[in-house]
Amino acid sequence: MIRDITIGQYYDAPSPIHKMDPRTKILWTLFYMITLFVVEGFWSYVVIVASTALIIALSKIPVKFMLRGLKPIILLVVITAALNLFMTQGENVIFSKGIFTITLEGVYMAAKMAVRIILLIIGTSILTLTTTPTVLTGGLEILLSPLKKIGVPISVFVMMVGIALRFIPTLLDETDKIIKAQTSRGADFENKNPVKRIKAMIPILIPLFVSAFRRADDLAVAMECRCYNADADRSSYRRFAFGKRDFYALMYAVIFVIILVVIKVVL
Amino acid sequence: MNIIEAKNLIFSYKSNTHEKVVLDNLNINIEKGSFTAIIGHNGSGKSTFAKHMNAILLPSGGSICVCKIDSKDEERLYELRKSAGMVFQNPDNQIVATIVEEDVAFGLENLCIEHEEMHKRVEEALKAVNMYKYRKRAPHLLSGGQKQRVAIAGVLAMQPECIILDEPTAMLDPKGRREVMDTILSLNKEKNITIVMITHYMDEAAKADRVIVLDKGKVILDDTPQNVFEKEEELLSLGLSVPHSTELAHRLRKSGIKIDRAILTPEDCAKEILKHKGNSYD
Amino acid sequence: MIELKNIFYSYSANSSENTVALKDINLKINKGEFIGIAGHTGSGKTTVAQILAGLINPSEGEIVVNGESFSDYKSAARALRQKVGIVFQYPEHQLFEETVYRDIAFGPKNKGLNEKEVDECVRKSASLAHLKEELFDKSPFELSGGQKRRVAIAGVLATEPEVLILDEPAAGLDPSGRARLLEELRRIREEGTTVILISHSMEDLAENVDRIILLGNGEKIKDASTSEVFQDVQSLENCSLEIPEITKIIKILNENGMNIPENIFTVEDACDAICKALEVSQ
Repeated sequence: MIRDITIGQYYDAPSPIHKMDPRTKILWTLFYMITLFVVEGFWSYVVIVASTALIIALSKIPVKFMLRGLKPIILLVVITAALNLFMTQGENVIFSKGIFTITLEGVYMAAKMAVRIILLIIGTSILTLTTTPTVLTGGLEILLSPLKKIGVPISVFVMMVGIALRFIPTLLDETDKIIKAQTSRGADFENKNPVKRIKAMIPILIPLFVSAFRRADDLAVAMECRCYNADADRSSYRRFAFGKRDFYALMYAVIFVIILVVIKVVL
Repeated sequence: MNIIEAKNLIFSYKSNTHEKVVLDNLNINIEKGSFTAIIGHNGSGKSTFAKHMNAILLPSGGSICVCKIDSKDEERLYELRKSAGMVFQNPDNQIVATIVEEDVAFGLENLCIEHEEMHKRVEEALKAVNMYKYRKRAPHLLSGGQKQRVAIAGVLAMQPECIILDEPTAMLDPKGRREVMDTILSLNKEKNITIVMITHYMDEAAKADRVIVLDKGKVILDDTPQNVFEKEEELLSLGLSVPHSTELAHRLRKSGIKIDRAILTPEDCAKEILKHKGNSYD
Repeated sequence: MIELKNIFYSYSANSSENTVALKDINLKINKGEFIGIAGHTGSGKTTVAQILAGLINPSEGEIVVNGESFSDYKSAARALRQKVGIVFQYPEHQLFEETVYRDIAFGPKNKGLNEKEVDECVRKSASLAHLKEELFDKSPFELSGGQKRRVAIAGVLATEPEVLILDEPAAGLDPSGRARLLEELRRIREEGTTVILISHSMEDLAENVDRIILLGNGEKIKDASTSEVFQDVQSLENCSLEIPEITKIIKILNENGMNIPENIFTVEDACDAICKALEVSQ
């Protein structure tokens, strides 16, 4: 289950999307997220879904792999959809029993929200799956660098994000091991009682925190040994340059907006 | 020439009740190009000494100089750390980046090395530890031995005079241990990099030119591995052991079988025993 | 007591295809045995251990516990968990309670024992793990590395498992800590517990266990008495395991015309056998 989460994972493949400049991809994702919540209407979503499918195809990430990443959020999607389904007031009642009333508007709203969340996760997944975390944070560092002028410590922030990403798999493995070790000592993580269930987390969380602090400590010393100084300037191993692909991506964004506007006007 | 010079080095810290002396008047010089192993049981002060060689800890008394730089000289701290690289026990906790080659570049980025030079050095360092073909991998998908070699490459790229390794093989399997040991030996022999390795594997210490035995923060023995492992009783009383081959040779000698030279490896041990077998044909 | 029949285990790795970690594993654990599981990293040792401990379910195959065959893996796992305790690598990383006593008591409390029974369990397992009762009120995080590990082992012993599995229990300990831990395992075994030791230190296995299960790439390579496994140097080398120095010496001697029994692993026995062989030939 824990291993199914694909957000933050990198999937290596020789695709044009992988080779694109991270800044382009970050801006594209941002743009995609905004569009997702601004647009209305069935045909607009068809265009977005089609465009997402095109990008997935270009990125050479197996669809199965993408879908597996959605597993952990199924519950979230179901809850959101259910809330919208029952809470939305409307005139076209399709079903009514006791306090439960389902309206056509509710069905529409529920579907819209479910699609939005799924597309949102897929969209951000494409960014992280095609961009190594270091490149991603490197791209962010450049995009956010204007903030350095007003004293925001962007480099330190980017280093922190990079390290967090680096340690996610390590800590997930560790969590898995601790859960198994405590299960073997008879800990019960499947109790129905929510209070007991939360209490059962303590034997997992404490060792995990202790371990994370120990690792942080070790890492800090190791970084110091390699001459890291948060206040000093650093050179960069990576160099980013906009290329043809980035230009195409920009063109595509423009076309994308035009199509959506046309749909809005025509339909 | 000495790369490391510890003079009357003392390190102590105060816990709530008493003062604990971890390093007690150490005088150790390490010569350029040598391979020194430091052994001692847990709590003998060996890791504390290692941390002094990189100015992670500063002496409470006496001094330690690395490449003629006093560890207390704050102005030259980065120069010192660049000359004496450090590799730690836990391979996971010293890899910073999410891609092998970027991790190797980390130290160089800190030193503000210019772009082309940096790429050249990363490539060389990865080739030297035999990890070049893994340069695009994520570190968590590597084996322990491979991770440790990446850590060594990260230090190597900074072109140090000396590499200090604090129990680099303690968390590895036999294959990983072999890979790391071979890498260390080749850096020492081929690139003439001074190696100081802390270990509690006696067979690894046996591969060094010199073995220093620490106990309670003091140097107890400091000699060639042959001479150090001759003193089996003394080592055992310090909670250490000797390689099984050495132990066997020692016992055979006690049982009246003449073995003249010091034994460190199974091959040597067998060779000496076979000499006696030869007698029967005379 | 526990039997695995035709066990397969596969998991989905990073891509869409499945990785097979275990292939057609058959093995039997009998009461009172001291078994070693050896194999390189990734050979499936830990996976087998986790199946035996009821922590993961096989993809295929049959599990027999006390003669009762389970086709339903969930109930098999429940039966196994009651019987088998597992000490993971670096078990000190699972400590969490405020005091040593409470940490050890975690397992027995989960079993629903009353206070008096819990107390008995804690004291008994602490003494088996060589922990002094003065330590009971201390925080486990204040102890030394070796002590922490013994607290963790006591914590597993306190669940009173019939089978105790230990995954590299001596990793990272110095030679004396290592020797002490193995001695404790022998004592635990004498008390009637079946012990399964997973290790890549062939020396530790040679000196302790009666039977060795050799795994390589998810398959069972060999399952035989310790002396039989060590005579098959080829298999050990194929599994990229370290051959004990004593075995190496005896092999060289025998290749050169000496005749020394190959089921010798300790330095003392080797010394005696070599003395005897040399006297005969002289």
